[in-house]
Amino acid sequence: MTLSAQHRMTVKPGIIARIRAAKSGPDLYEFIQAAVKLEHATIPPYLTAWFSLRRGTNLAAAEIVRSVVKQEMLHMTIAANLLNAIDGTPGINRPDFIPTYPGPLPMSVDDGMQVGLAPMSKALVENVFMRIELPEHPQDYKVLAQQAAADQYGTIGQFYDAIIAQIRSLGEAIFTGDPTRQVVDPVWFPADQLFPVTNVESAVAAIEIIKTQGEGTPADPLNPSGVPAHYYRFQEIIKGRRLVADPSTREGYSFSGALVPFDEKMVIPLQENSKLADYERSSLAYAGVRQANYTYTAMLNALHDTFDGHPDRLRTAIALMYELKLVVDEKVTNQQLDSGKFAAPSFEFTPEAATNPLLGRRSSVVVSA
Amino acid sequence: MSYLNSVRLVFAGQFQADPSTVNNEVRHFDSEYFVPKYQDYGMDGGWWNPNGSGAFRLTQCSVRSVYYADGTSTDDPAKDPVVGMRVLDANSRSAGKIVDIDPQWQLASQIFGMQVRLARIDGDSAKTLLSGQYAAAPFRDLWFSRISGLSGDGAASAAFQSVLTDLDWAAEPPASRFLTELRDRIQEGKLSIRLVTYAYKDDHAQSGFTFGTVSGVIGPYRSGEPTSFVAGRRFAPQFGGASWNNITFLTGVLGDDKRLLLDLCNALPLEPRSKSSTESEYDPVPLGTLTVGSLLTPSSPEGAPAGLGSFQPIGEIPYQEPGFLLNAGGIAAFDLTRPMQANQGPNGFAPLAIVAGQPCGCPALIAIRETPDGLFTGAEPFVLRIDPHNKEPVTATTKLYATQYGQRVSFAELQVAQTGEMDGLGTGSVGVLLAPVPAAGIPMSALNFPASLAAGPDGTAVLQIQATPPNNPRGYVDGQLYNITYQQAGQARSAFGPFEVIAIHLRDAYPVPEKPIFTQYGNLYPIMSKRLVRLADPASVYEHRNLLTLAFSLDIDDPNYMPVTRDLSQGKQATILKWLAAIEQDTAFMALVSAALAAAPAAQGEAAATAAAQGDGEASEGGKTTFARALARSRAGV
Repeated sequence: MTLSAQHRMTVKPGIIARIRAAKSGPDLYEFIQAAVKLEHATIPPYLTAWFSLRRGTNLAAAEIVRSVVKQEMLHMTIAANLLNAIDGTPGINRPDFIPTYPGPLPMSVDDGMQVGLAPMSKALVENVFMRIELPEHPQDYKVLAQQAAADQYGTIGQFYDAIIAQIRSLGEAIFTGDPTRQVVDPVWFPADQLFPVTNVESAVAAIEIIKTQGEGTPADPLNPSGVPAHYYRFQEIIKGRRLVADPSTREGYSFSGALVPFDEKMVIPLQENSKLADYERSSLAYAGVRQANYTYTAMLNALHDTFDGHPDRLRTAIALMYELKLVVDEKVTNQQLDSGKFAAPSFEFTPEAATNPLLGRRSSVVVSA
Repeated sequence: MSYLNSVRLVFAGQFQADPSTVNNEVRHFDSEYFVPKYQDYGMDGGWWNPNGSGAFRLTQCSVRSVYYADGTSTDDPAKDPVVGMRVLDANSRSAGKIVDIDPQWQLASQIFGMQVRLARIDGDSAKTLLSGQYAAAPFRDLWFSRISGLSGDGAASAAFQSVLTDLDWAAEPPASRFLTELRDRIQEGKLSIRLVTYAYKDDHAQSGFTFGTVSGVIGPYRSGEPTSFVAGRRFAPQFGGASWNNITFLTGVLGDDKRLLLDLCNALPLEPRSKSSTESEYDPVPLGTLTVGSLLTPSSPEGAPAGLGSFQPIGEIPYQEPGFLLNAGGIAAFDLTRPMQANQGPNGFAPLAIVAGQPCGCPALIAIRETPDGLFTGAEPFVLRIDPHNKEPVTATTKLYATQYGQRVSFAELQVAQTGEMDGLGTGSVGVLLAPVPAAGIPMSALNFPASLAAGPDGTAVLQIQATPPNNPRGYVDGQLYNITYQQAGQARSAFGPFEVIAIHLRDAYPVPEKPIFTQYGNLYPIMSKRLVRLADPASVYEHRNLLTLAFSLDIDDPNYMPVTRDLSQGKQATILKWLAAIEQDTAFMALVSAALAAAPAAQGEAAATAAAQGDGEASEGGKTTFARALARSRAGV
């Protein structure tokens, strides 16, 4: 199937133009904050798909989704480092940081692609996940012809390109942020993927990591670690085989690697676009979804702390992600509903877990982006 | 005194306790005989919560009322904005954990790594006014017969008392008389907190599974007081764990302000709610009019009549008022008049007693009374993990408090003793288990302490326990579990609750090869292996070595400390960390890793069938109940 240009995530008109018009570091804050929000926005849908895979089944697909989630967290962290580097303040711990599901992704045109929370399926992977990650120039490693780069629409790739260009143009002077706020943690992310952003060179390198891990490059679908970009990883599930270097093909790669079996019958049929209000108040499902929301909100708080001058708290945030998994697996997705479906986490902001409003330091959160 | 003082807030709501119960059966610790069935539900398997995460949480808790220094109180948020605020736990780190010291002592569970917050919710945001870290302390006064009509852990109740430290106050709290009075009285930067937990649901098919009811009180901590119990006026059943009308141990305080405060929150029996009670599932059992007063005939036993001439009433306990447990925290307060004060110091004390009015004009009977001679002895810490990691003897200490009628007994003579060998502890599984049940409490020679010691002028004594490695007496379980009883000379054991002993886990000095450790943890804490890291799989251990290194090097009070059971000796911990740091040099292990990675992926259908087949097993009566029965059998020599 050929995916045309309309089926990709399309950035709202005007955003790229406004990036190009930025005259100072602060002029870029809202866009980089929007990038943090965008990188996070794919995490609940990907996590929901991961949680829908029963323990011990669909192992290859589970590993693919899990590794993409981990990289999205990395991308969030990189974007936050970039914002801190130019003395902006990432804002994570607010209700409006979480998109509404189903709904458009941050910065995306409203009548474009809608993303929701759903159990794993080939249709979900092909119609949603691959569209989210669709490269500017997707390479079609099969018989079909390559996509033309027709582009009156703004793509995420172009968004990041515009950021890079403007950073180069504005130069070293915008890097006025406190370097101790930069987040690095070699336990979770190797130093060549997560490193301090302190100048134009490191900023560009950091954004390139987001781009190549997400979409690869026209010439090479593999990122510097040799793992395919997200788009192609998801495509491995559709094609049923891993993407590997293949000198026998014109493109140099083909889906001729190890099997990636996917058995839809083994997927837990989760409640789609789950909301806490869907569940009966005295039920275990309700208690589980409520706790998952609380834990998830706590995780966002920990990430906020991490990006707000406490880089050592990244491991606390990751511990909370593990706790979220335990709560979801043991208290949520094992609860069958009257409909025959199973409860699913709803990723709703929980006021009880809210942290105190920021005092003093201004926040870079702006509603319009 | 501590939370049991005039300035206090009462909160109530739900708690969640989600321990993994595979380790409730000591014989599951034997990796050699472990089978996968021990990770399933059922008393022939992993008991009632095999996939527990270990978490302990406060949820849906709100402040019901606040009490002021002058004895008045309010439950109206318009009068004090603290009323109606929420009491919550951590919102930017993992939840606290509930942990037993050892599978052969499950009656002194501790909460580690919990943070407690007082917060006001405003629409979709919240403001935390106050937060603190809950210091780990074991529950006390556990009893199993609280709720009539129920059995097992669902009928149980216990009190947790501790302090909140590292207090963090919001910069601009709202104007609140309570907060002002509280802040003025805090000493050493700590708050005193008491939780009573009951109505726990331990059936995984039941609504509310892993949740129960909590009634909490927070007050100022006062210097010099114990943090985990109230050294006050102790009421004890004459025999066993409860009185003739099913009231259990409780404590009161009569301060210089001549106000008597009795904490009955954990002590009164409950029954399923009456129609008039809208909130709680359970109400106090009607026991007739309950009156607290001075027993003028000090040797009158429980159950004896008490009336004019033998009993001077102080006040009626409003235990049947709606909300006594949840809105008033089960605390009854009385201001003593001068005639009442005459019998309560300083020239002499009459024992306190609670007297139950009888129908048909019959004389009131003593329901429960203060201990003989008003003697009470407490120990803190109550649970000790002792680690003679270098094979040298180490000294651990615990502090004993001697009181009489709530006054410290200067130079009291204290007696302490090991209980000695205890057989059959920590088991209860049905079905055939091949591993033997280890004997606890031996060798006695590993612990050395004086049989008696004298308190100082302040009525306290520090018991020094010299410990040497026990040399693996239990085989497949590390170290040894000991109990130490303590009392003032002449004090009867019946004045103490059945589990009111110092519990010690004495670790071994020599680490044994560590791969069995990971297998053992994987067996006992299945959620780990099922969801996160397959501890028995070399490839998984290798893949997650950074995560394991991090988790195994945390402080014991960190909620993410591994192992969650906190039973790892320092020697073993050091060995594990050293091994993880140099894992690639362990060629034998790395060969296993390569072999595991090269092996074909598991057949999907087979794994799915296993995953889907979580059979229900037979209904269990509860982990603590089962443990207590085994203990009772052990003490009876059966």
